Formats: sequence, structure tokens, C-alpha cells
Amino acid sequence: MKHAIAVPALSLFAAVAALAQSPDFARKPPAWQVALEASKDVAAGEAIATKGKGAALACAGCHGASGVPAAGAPFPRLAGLPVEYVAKQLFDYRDGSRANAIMEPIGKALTDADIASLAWYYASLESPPGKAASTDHSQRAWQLARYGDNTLALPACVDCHGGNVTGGGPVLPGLAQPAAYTTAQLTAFRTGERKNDGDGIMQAIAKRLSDADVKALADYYAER
Amino acid sequence: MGDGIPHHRRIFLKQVATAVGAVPLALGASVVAGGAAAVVTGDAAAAATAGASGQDTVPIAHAWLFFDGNESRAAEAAVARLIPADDAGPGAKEAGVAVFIDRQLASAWGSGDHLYRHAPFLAGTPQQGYQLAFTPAEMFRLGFAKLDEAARKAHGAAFADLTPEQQDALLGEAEHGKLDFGELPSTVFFGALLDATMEGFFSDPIYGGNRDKIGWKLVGFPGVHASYANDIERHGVAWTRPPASIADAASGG
Amino acid sequence: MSKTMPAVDVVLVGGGWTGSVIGKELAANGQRVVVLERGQPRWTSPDFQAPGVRDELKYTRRNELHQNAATETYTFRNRVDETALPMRRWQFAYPANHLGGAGVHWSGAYYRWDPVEFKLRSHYTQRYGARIFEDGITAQDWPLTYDELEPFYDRFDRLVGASGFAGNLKGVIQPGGNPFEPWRSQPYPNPPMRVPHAPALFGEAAAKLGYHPYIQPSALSTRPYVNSEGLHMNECVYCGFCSNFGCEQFAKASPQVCILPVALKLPTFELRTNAHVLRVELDKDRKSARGVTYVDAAGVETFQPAQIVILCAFAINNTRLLLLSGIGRPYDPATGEGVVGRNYTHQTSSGVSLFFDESVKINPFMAAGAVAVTMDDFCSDNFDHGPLGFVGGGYIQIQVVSGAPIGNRPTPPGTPAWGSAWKKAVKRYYNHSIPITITGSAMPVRGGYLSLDPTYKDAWGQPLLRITYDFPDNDIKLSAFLTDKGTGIGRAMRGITLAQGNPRTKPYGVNAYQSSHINGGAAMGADPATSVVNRYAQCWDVPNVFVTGAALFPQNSCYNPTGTIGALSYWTADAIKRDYLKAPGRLIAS
Repeated sequence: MKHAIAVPALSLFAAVAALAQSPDFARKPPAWQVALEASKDVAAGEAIATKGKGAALACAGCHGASGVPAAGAPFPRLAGLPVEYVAKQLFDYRDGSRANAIMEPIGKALTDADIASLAWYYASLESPPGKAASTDHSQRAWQLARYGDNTLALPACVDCHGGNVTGGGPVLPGLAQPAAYTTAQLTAFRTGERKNDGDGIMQAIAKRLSDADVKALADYYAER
Repeated sequence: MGDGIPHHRRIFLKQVATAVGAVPLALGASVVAGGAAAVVTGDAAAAATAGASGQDTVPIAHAWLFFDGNESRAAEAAVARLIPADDAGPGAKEAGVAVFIDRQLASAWGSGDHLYRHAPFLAGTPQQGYQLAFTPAEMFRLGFAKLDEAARKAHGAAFADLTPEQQDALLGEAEHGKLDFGELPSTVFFGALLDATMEGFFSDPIYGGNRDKIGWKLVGFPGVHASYANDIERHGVAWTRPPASIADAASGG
Repeated sequence: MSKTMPAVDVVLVGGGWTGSVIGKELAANGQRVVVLERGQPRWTSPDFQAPGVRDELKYTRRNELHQNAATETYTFRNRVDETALPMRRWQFAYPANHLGGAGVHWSGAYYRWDPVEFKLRSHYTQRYGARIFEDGITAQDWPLTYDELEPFYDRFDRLVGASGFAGNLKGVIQPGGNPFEPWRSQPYPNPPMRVPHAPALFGEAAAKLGYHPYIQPSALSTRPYVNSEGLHMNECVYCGFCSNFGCEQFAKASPQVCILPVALKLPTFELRTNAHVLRVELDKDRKSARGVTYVDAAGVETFQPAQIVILCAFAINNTRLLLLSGIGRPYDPATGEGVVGRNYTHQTSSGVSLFFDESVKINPFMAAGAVAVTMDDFCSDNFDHGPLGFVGGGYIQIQVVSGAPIGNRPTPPGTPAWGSAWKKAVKRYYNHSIPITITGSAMPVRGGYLSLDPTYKDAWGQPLLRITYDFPDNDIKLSAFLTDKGTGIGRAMRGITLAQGNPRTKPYGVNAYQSSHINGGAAMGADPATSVVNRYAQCWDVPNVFVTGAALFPQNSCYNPTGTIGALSYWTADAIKRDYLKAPGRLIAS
């Protein structure tokens, strides 16, 4: 159906004024930001991390006493992650947008204030040093991490994720993590089991990575 | 012109020869401030060293690619007045802006690789933009020589040896066209110098300026770690992460 | 030394948006196509990846993706009684070079033109009387309507992954959108851009004043998207290295992202880079083109024979190619005769500098080429021009384009340009200042035209294109009006401490950046006396030559050009497939 609007301008204006309502341009802060701004109780966070709280097991049991897990463990380091990212992940475990059998019940056992405390606690820990740049990595991993892939429309990981340890932004973590963890996350994005990535960018990217790509990247980032 | 030397260059050579007390130093090593320290490169080790040392102004040892000894002194002194060190923090000299300008003038850009340089060169209206024949390298060479000449004429010393007040006054005169630089209007030179200073203060440190991200830290520009999809709608939230340069990102930091 | 290539069906001059779209369409239709791109190939990976691409000095200050003024520039004068001089370095606009052309370094602001724009002369005459047009303005109607072009706008929307919220779906105004938007048959393929703080404050103030602000549409995909060619796009990350840069994310629509990978898989499509076209070669009767002559990477002059020649170079460079090739009669402003070069326009831009108290954090580095809250209340003929005495309009917005500090370091008027006072001010205001941007239409004038320069040449020995132009008073009045309105909105914004309007003034100059939308010289029209091409972009005088892009504009609207250029590309490709090929060598009947 096509037709031009041949309405005299004055009555068009009246019609427009009657029907139009301006969108609301204000934006609500995300819940994790509200929680972080509301309280900063590092000591409370340390207590939960070391002793647990109800169904929330002590974080240190898996994630390590100083936020760095034992070598070979599949759990991610938390030390060196942005406070915003840690808080957001706990909120996301709680609402199921990030699915994980271990972390979901933990998320559900925590209040907003607990989450904020934990995030502030982990942010207070010393960031692990990056490893000396290893030259032992696959060409494919290095290409994907630093240059992307034109035929797959993949931007380089570094574009968003920035520093291997420090990351690229508040909710863009550094990718230096155990290989098993990286593999699990890329796989979870690929299946949609993990879908807390905003408008789905990591899900779309993961779908275009082959199994060999995932392994190459996981091994690469394990050495950063 | 039978001798093959471009007109404006002959003027320059003549003026150098007659400048009072002018003995151009040979191009060569020039130490900015004492002490061995990190080299000005984009290499990760240097970045790590500079960061780890916690110093804001790491002394550097380097060689000038373009400037001779007089020019490098004039350049460092001039940029130090255009963006001075003060309460607001370090300035252009500490940020290595003179090094940046030196490298740029030695580069293809300095030779005019993006400048249309065909004759005839005619005087135009302001609307027609830059119509002089000078490449950036030629302009800065002549301009710094003229600045020193003006300094000697007014105060009997090279620009670098004047007091800050005297330097500011001379720069202001250049800015407003009150100095006679011959064929190079002093306003044009001043404008180019100020542009180059801003570029050197705010460009990525890989080019030799903005050392220790002095310029970016002054204004709060985050540099190259720049994926803000998750932050742009958090209205009113300040960005607090330290700035990152191309070298930082390339080294994995 | 010279050589001749094997003949093809279609040769396209330029590997930007129009060359890529039309080239692919015709190749998919079975024509043997070659696209000649004068620059080098550039691809998102590896060429535009961070951190290297996030380099303001390289891309903005040293013109990495722009045409190199040293080898080819324009000359300029305001009036015919002046001598045109070369633009020895770029200031007023950024013509493009390299694969993808301006479609790589553009900003992604994405609009359709209002229906009134296509009937500019007749609409304003009908509503306000002929005297609304200042004497000397040579604006004219297009030979097609918005309604005819709508399906082609839609097709280009789907190619680029346009992001927005439809304000008018099939004639029904949609609450929350732009109530002035022309009707569209389908919603935008992707949701609108995010809203940073400053545009939100602008929208709030504009709405309070009774205007109709909305989120500007863009060709920066806002989410993962598979386009009409089956190619993947990712989402814009608001990195602030957009205008003048290649996009690292495959988010900003470009020929490389949206169509070339598919075109290159067609056996009938060939792309040659480092192929600098000198001219179109005509038959002895000068009524038919034989092909084009170009210089290859080694400098060898090469003839490419073809049945159809399509000019797809940057904007007004197509007009230059027509003049260099002797196609059409060059326009003579003294007599008013001739058509090639007639009706040059730019974009009448202005702004309002805004300074805020320290509670308002602008974060200008969280940015994109097209992230804005904008309003069309004063675009086209959306308002009563009667008491105002000018034609045209403009949009008023706050866009957050870049925080890169070589170019973005605002200080209030009266601040010294250097020294401690400057330093203090730039520190105070860097995160607390942003302009309101005003983009106005541009009317052509009798004395404003394009021609070949008699003196200055490019690196290949060919005359440069000469721009002769000054603003009509019409556009100055328009700019003053719009800037005044913008200043009023600025003053109503929360946290404002100073709003200073800076309207466009005469004379037109090329010593400051205004916009890269330079247009005209090959007007599309119904009458060969006032146009170079017919409604299918086919040269009246040489029917197997087609012209694309902004050279076709008889005047410029207030809206950015790429959406319309893309729609016209599909329109032209369809006309060639459907009509021209059935009777090649002849003008397509209207």
C-alpha cells in the first residue's frame, strides 16, 4: 500500500501534535549499578567470600583465597576483574540470564547488598600480573585475538576486551582465564545458555567460531 | 632561477648566515634532562617500566631526527609556553611535544606528502585557505630561525634563553602578526606551531608526544580501550579507568 | 606503453557504495562487470582493527582514508571574476579514497529525504508563491517522487541494517517516533541507537519547548544482524572513532561489510584496485561510450572496453569525469547555457556551543558517527515559511561524535588559545561541553557551478575540478533562523551555563570543515535543458553512460545523502536490468 500524505501543512501539524509524544530519553541505571552505589562494605564481602552465607558457598573454595584459583582448576579468577562486571554476573546468575548449575543457587542466596559487598571485596584484591607474552600460541588464536576474521565478520577480541588482565571496560573483562573456563563460556554463548551479553553480541560471535577456534582461543588466553 | 635552489630556501640560508651569533649545532644526540631512562618507543617494556616507576615525567634520552640544536631548543621552549607545566599538571615539554614535532617534520607529512604543491602560488582570499609554498618542514625551519632572530633583536638572546614572560610576549606578537618573518607570515607559523603542539600533546604516545599520557590525563580522555556500548547509557557516571595507548593494547595491557 | 583489457559488459568507475551495489546487482543479473577502484583494498580485518584504528592523528589529522590533496584536489573561488586557487590541503570536506570510498569513513547518519525535497520548486511555489525563491536560485524538481523511490529506500535499509524507530508506518504516525518522517512500508531492521547523556538532556529540553525530538536513525547496526545479502554485521560499541575511520566491529555499514564479499564470489564480478580512471572514451560521433581509460598500479595506461559505463566516483568527482570526457554540454554561468557542472551545493551547517556546570558529565568519548537525539520540526516544509522569506530547512540535534582531544577540546568564547588559562579551561570544560549541531539544506545559485580549472592539474596531468560558489542569502537567513532556534533549546537544557549560537555567514570558504556532502553538477531531471541525466540517471547525450551519487542532486536537502544515494543506486540498477538491456544504447523511455 502506498500513498503520499497530501495534507495541508497546518492541519498536518495539528495532527502531528495530537498524535506525537516524545520518547523518554532518560535511562534507568542498571540494578547492579544501583547496588554498587548504595553500599561498599568490603569487610562484609570478605566474610561471605571466606565463610559463605547460607546456600552461598564460600567463594574462596573454588575461586581461591586471593581471588586466583589453584592452577589447573576450571574456575575463573576474580581478582583483577572490574567491580561492575563481578556485580553484574552475580545479578545475572540470580535472574538466570547467565545459566550455571553451581552459580545460580549461589546468586539466588545473595541480596543486592551482598552482591555489592562481594564485588567491592574482589575489586580490592591485588590484580594478578599478566604472564610474560608467550610466543607459543597458534597462529589462528593470535589472528582472532588481535585481528579478527574478515570472512566470518569477527572483530578482534582485543577491540572490546582490551587488556588481557585489566579488560576493556567496566563490563568487558580481561580474557586471561583458565582454558576450561574460556571453553565453557564460548560454548555457553554459542548455545544461548549464557545470554547476558546485552544485545547478543557474544552469542552471535560464538556461533561463528569453530570448535578448533574455541580451543585455540582458550589455550591462548590461558597463557596471557 | 639558475642555481636550482627554491627561492624561499635561499632566503633562509642567507638569513642563517647573517644571524648574529648563530652557529647551528650539528644534528646529533641531544639529552633532554640528565639520567638514563626509557627510550621513547611504543615497546611494551618501556611502557611497563614507565608505569612501574610511578614517575610522571620520565627523563628520556633520544636523538633529534630533524631539528638541529638551535631548533630543538627553540621548539622545546616554545611548546613549554604554549602548554606550560602548572597547577593543572605537566605541560607540553614534559609530554615530549618537541619530540613529536621533530618526528613529524622528519616524516613524509613534514615533506608535504599531503600538500598540493604545484605552481602558481598566488595570494588568495582567506576563504581559499593556505596558498604558500612551504612544506611543514620548511615552515618550521624558517619559523624557528625567525623566532630566534626576533628574540635576539628584542633581548639579545635566543628564544630559549629568554624569561617566560619575554617568551610569552614574543609568541603573542607572532600570533597577531606583529613579528616580521619575511615571506612567512608570523601568524601562519604560529598557527602551525600551535596546531602541532596540540597534536603532540593529545595524539597517541606512539608518535613521541603525550608521554605518560599527560595530555589525556589532563582532560580525562580514555585512549584506545574504547568499547562503551555498556556504559554510554549510564548517564552521569564518570569514567575512572586509566587511559590506554596503542602500545598498551598491543602489549596485552 | 599502453594496453587494452578484454571487453566487459559494464565498467564502473569507483569502488564505493554505488559502484558496489550496482556492480553486484548487474553481475548477479549475468552481466560481466568490472569495478575500477583507484585506491587500495582495505578490509575490516585486518586493516580497521583496534588498537591501530583508534588513532586520531592518523585518520583525522593525516587523512588516512581521504583523497590525497597532493595528487588531486579542487580549486575554488567565490565568484567568476576571481581566480580559483587550489585547496592545497583538505579543510572544507573529506573526499574519499580507497576501496569502499566515503562509505568507509562516513558517519553513518542515515535518512530518507522528505517527499517535498523531490518537488522542491513546485511545492514551495504552490504553497508560498514563486517569489519565495530568491532571484538567482536555480533549485528544481526531481523527475521522480518519494513514493516511487520508497521501495528502493527500503531495500537499502535492509542492506545496511538501518537502526531506528519508524515514525510513520504506511501513513500511520507511530507514537515515540519522528512524526515528520515520510511514510515507510516496513519498520527499520534494527532498533534505534542508544541515547547518551547530552542528547537525552537535549531531547528533554526540546520536548519541553513543544518540539518533537527523536533518536536519529543510523546505518550503525545496533545488534547482531544478518543483512539482505546474508552478511553478518555486529553491534556498534560507541567507540568514538567513527567519522573518518574504518569500523573495526563490522557495525558501520560499508561496501566491504554489506555487499562486496558476496559480489566477489560471483564469477561475473571483478574488482580491480589501484586502477585510476582518467576519462570515459567516446565514439567518433560522441554519442556512445566505448569504455574507459585508466592507469594501473604500475602506471600503464590501460583501456577497458565496455558496453555500459557507470560513474561511481566520490560525489562531484563524477561531474569532473563528465567534463574530462566531453560528455554533455558544460554549464556557462554567463549565458546560463549548458548543464554539466550546474547547481553545485554543499551543506549549510552551523552550531550552538554549550557549556555546562560540572554536574553534567558529557563523556564525549562514548560516541559514534550517528548517535543523536534530533528533531525535524524545522526540516523541509514542516513549518510555515511564509513570514520567513526563505526556502529549505534543517535538523537540530545533539550528536556525540568524538571525544578525541586533538579536535575536541572546547573552551568558552574569550578563552586564550594557549597558556595556563587555556589549559585550565580545557580541563574544566572537556567533559562539560558539547555543541548543538544544525544541518541545513543548500540551494543552488546561477553563479555556483563546477568546471575544469584552466591552470591547475592533478598528478596525472588532467585539469582539476573548479568550484565557483557563494551562499545565497536564502541559506544565510535559514542558518540564522535555525541557529536561533537551537540556541533557545540550549538555554533550556538542565545544567547549562552558556549557550552561544554560531550561525553560518558569508562568504563561503574552504578553509574550515563544514561537511563532506558536496553535490551537484550532473543534475537528474526531466528536461535536458536543465539536467544532465534522465530519471534513470542515464546521460541524455550519451545513453550508455550512467551517473550515480551526490552529483545527481539538483539541490541539497537538510538530510544526509547516503540513504538517498543508496536508494537511487538500486533504482538505477533496476532500470538497467528491466529496461536498458532490452534496448541498449537508447534512452530509457520515461
